[in-house]
Amino acid sequence: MQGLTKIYDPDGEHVTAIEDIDLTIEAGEFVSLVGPSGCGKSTLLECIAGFIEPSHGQMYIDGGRIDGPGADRGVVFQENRLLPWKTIRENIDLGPKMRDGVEDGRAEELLSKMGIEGTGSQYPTELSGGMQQRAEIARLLANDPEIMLMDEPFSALDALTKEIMQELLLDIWEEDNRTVVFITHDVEEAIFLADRVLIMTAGPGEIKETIDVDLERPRDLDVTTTPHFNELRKEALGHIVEEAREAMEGGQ
Amino acid sequence: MSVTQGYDIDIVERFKPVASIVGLIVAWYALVEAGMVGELPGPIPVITAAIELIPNPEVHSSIIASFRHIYIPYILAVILGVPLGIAIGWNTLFNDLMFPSLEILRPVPPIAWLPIVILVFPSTVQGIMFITFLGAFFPIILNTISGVRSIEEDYIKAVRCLGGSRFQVIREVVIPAALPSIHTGLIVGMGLAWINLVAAEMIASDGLGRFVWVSYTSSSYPNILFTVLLIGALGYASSEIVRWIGNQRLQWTKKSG
Repeated sequence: MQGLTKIYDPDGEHVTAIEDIDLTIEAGEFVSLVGPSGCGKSTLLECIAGFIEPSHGQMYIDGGRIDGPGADRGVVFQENRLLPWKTIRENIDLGPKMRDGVEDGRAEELLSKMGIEGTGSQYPTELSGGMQQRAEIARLLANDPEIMLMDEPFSALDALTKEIMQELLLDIWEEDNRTVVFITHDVEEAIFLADRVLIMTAGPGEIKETIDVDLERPRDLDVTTTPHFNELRKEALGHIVEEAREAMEGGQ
Repeated sequence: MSVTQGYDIDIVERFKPVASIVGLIVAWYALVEAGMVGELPGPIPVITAAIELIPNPEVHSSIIASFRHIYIPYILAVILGVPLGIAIGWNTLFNDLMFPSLEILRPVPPIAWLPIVILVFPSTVQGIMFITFLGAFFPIILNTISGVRSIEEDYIKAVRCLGGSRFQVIREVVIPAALPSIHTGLIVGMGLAWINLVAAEMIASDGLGRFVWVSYTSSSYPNILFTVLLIGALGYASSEIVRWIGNQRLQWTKKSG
């Protein structure tokens, strides 16, 4: 993937969810999108995923135009979307199965990588929320997407599980060099994970600020207590607070 | 979730259906003894009739004929109703073209079809089967439609971004997600096919429905009641078979953690 450029604007109902966004994401880059709720983060992600079509503008992956959803872009939703009528193993094998490429043992391998070995024959509802989210990521990895699109994937998890999942995600990313677009409203999470944090503004959604995260990799959660991490956090929060204030004043 | 574990509770659970039926018989006996239901025979003459009729070959052949009048149309109703319901639930064009016509035909009672059926079908057996078919067809197709319509779109998205084509979305998401609702339609459809049976067999030369009408014209009232109860029991058993088969295939709806 060389680059992904997009410029576009409104929805049909003259609600401009996102406007004139120019964005290039390099292959293998980890990008976080932060912003207040309703700023169009999810809309942007749905456009990249191909679920919705932008009203204006174009998006390209490796020079090819995005035209509907595809297996090259895997999505992890906030609430997991494991199919409840399939076992965990069947869920993980689903992507490969639809292309007739199921490898025996691949599901088990991914389950143990995600730390939930032995759950393959269970149904999703039999697992805890954190385990379900691991299984969902395993399903994504089974499909070997170049781009992982994650829409607040850990926001429904408790604090401890969330930290474990963040480190796990970084391990996976460092191993395979995939591109990740990660949406969150948690600034620390965004900085900890990403190479680049994009701060979005609300109504209409635009990318207001970009913060390059020059923390060394591989990272673990200790990095969140370093002074440099704090500086980055302050910088990001500063932009968000400023933005929120402007939005409130603009609304009056 | 359920409290049916444990031996003692299990016995209580098993006793409940028996209590229901015993209660019905006691109420029936009391009403007859009190003279509140005209000439309706009580449980004892009906049991006498049952002892006489159960070994009777005419009853056996009636049961077999009624099974034929139910199961052949029922299978046809499944084969037609499920795919058509999926198409109507999934595709707006199909829906707009077919749904209004379905809704007009659906409330027509089985008896009202009799004269039409006599006009249309060359043989009465076909007419009978058409009426039981309708009983099964409408609940099956309507439950299939509503099952397909209530699918959460996020499951479809999930399969689309795993690389699923439209056809694969139907196979992997639409059909399995609608199955619990289809299953309900199959159970209700079986029950309604039996409900339509007596009306349909008014014009028949065999079957339990005809046996009821013949018993009526010969004033054998205990025989009527026995046959009516037999129809009820066979209908109940048929629905339970459908329910059981479905539950075997829908294990995932039972699990929750």
